[in-house]
Amino acid sequence: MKPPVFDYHAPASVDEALELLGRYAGEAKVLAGGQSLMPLLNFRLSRPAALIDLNRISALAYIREDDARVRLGAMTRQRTIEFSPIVRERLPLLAEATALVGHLPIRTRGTIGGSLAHADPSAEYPAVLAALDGEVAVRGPRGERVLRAAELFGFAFHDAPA
Amino acid sequence: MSDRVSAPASAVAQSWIGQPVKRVEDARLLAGRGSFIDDHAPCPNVHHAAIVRSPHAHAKILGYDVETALGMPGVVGVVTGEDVARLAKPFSVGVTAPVHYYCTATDRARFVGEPVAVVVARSRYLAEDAAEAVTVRYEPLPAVVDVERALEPDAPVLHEAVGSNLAGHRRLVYGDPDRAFAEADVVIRERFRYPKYASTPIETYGVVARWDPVDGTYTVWANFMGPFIMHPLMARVLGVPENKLRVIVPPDIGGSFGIKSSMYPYMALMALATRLTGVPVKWIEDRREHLLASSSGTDRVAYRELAAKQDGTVLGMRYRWLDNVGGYIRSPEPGCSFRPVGNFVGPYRFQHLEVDASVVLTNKSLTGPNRGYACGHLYFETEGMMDRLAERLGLDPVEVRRRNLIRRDQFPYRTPTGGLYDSGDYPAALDKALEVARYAELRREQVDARAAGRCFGVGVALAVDPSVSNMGYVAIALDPQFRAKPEYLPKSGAVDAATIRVDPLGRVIAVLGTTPQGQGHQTVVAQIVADELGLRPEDVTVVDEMDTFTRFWSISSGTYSSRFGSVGTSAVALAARKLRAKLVEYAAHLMDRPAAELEFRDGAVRPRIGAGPSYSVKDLAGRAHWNTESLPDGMEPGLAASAVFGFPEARAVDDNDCVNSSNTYGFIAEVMAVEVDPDTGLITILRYASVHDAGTIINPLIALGQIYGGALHGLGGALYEELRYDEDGQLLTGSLMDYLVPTASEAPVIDVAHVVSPSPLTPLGSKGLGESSSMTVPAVIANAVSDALAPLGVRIAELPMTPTRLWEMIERARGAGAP
Repeated sequence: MKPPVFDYHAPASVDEALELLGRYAGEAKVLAGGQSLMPLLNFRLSRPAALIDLNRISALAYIREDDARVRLGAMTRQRTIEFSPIVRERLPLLAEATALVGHLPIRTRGTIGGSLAHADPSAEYPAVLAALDGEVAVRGPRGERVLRAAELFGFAFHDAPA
Repeated sequence: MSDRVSAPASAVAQSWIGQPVKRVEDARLLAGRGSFIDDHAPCPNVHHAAIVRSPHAHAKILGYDVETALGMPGVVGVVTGEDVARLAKPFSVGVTAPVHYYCTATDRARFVGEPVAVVVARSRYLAEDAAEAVTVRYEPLPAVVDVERALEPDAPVLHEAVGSNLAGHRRLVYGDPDRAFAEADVVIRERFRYPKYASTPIETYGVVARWDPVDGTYTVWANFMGPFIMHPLMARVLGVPENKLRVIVPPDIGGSFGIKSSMYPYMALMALATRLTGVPVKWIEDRREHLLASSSGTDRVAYRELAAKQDGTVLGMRYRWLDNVGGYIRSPEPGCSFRPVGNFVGPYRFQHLEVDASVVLTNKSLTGPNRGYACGHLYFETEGMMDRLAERLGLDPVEVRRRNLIRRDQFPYRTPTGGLYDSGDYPAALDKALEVARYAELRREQVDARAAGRCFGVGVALAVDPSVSNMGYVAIALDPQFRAKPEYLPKSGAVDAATIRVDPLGRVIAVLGTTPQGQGHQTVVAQIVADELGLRPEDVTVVDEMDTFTRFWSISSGTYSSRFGSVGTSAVALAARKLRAKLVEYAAHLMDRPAAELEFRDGAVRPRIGAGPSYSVKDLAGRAHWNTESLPDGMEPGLAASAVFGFPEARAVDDNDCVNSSNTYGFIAEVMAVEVDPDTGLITILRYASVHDAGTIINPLIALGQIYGGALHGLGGALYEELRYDEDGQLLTGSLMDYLVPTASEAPVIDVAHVVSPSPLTPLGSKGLGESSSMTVPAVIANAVSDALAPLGVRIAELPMTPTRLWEMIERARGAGAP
């Protein structure tokens, strides 16, 4: 249960992360909280050429309320969501579902972006996104687009590419 | 009875025994300062092993290609099954069938995950990279995983030399079961299935091996718990005399629950790897390997028959067992079938029993001791049968048991299978369990709940809890004709040793040869020695780091089979008493008085009657160490005493297949109330009372911990855990995502109480308690769920009771037109 060799990058901005993703032309994986990706690496079920670690991009971790919407940054920890007054008031389903994600150490590391991107059909967040008719802003080298759950999740463990 | 046996604990003046002394081990463990196998490199230049494992459940091995791996960075060598076949012998097995079990596959792989090669490299990462590059050429063969299918004439045969998949078979007859069944008013029959599950200790297996080319000695550090009968087995496999194989166990082991008794093939494998590569080799099993290929209890199909009179008196029983030991039979199997032979009848008086035990080879991982070793299976079946009898006769399940319990005045009780139950008061313990559970109230609640349409049930389970196995029981797997041959050597025994030394300042060091895995030996030994020598527990330092070169050990040594609370503590008490006698003799010499006029009291040697000078332990220790001239003529210098305690009733199997398979026998009485949601199959435990008789309780906190741990382990097997295979022999539950282990969140509240019947066989009156409720929970919860679902006509005969499985049973019953 040791991962194979990979390059490692820890960009400080989204632009830098996108540049790195482009450089590896689909051979890199994005590391968020690592609660699914790290076991996949350790089992050698995933063999990326590089890991792009988003944990240093502080701009991606936030919970904001504006335009009658709640916006959550991709790198917002599940533990933060679980105890967010905004989430509890505006999205009580999300707060309730978050408390059911894994266990405490998992929620402390796990992120909402990572969980949605992993698209595990038995996970809480994809179901909550669909139930609340939420939207996901996806950025890639070619720009940004906004997707609903039905558009985001192609099939199990696969989401739409940006 | 032995003359070494003396008064129970109550006669000891001071009493740390019985106090809830906090575990001295906890401070270092909770602070992350334990010393485990993976924590330190015991020698320089340690390299790391990765094991190449078979992806096939059954396949011929045609060859290996290791050249690519050998050329990879940091790789120092690759060991294949060819090397193993050339350089090592197969392990001795506990049956006469020619099962050739080596520490890797040689000619064939027989289960998924079986080791086929080992790569040794500078780091574990590099070793795993290179392990992927080892090519093993296989010719896949059809697989078989089900015990009954494996015995069909057209089933794939795993071992050609054996000729079938039956590794062993014994039909044991006690009394006259045929007559019992002929005379019965009622005969009950049932088929049970018990699942394959393990214990998932937090720490996996770990081995470091070094070979010294100068003196030819292997040193193997391993978190191995014993039994040390495996030491001569390993030496034989490696082809060295026993004094060229040194096994050292680190101070801390992160749990085992029986599972680490089965790691010895890896110790031999790493010894071969270090020999062949010339570098010390370390291998730490990862969690994937642990679930795939460490060890588990057997899955069993059991056919049970019970003969009884109309009044509920059980006349006899028939057990037909098919135990699935996986691809090979690894010692101490087939203990899976025979370990509880002395307590096959449990707590009941019936005298007629027939046991038909088949040990079956299939393409699953190998089995071995797992907490409760075969007792969880035994009591799940027996207690299920007692409930079926109660239902047939319209009796309360408690009443039918009460009519069959061994009475208090029958102890010590010789069972028809040769067990010698040393002490007990089973009816009193049952009463206590009913009282703690408020049984009558539960039955009233049940009436109301059923009236309201709720599935509310109450279960009862009783068990004799055997501790300190007599290793001689393993010979029951062999036919009496085989055992009668002149070259056959009988086997028996259950011994442990302790040495206690007093230093020049009067402080004590107690040295054990045990291998604790979290049981708290240091705490308990300090309590015992403090009582015997009038000290405080903190004055006693306890060292329990097993080393076969420096510690006393024998064939039955090790910390397994709930041994320490019974045999280990006895050795400690006897050593302390020897030392105390020496202190009295020395003081008598100093005082110039007869020793008979003196006694050891309140930490000093004093006159029995009247005033006079006294000598404290500290005083005597100083004089004895600093001035040996002060010793009486003929007294050995130094203040140290060793004792080896052995049970005299641990005898070899007799000609009638009778054997006292354990040495102390406790008792468990449990009552559980559950509610089942018929729409989801979810079980909620509403009340759980657990009453134990383990003789003298030395430390009630540790006893409570063992009971909780045992109960959770049993709950795992009853509700959650199963090593499930598909029909091709692929493991379906190979990660903790799929193999569900109960955690604190799933733990029920347990109302624990004790009844104390001190053992007459141990100096302190104590018995083992390490396996405890692991052997009763599957029975008690199955009976409670059956009771809850009785109105639907659902009866549990198979575990684990996952929500899916239970829901399907409920749906089938509803579909069949039950109310």
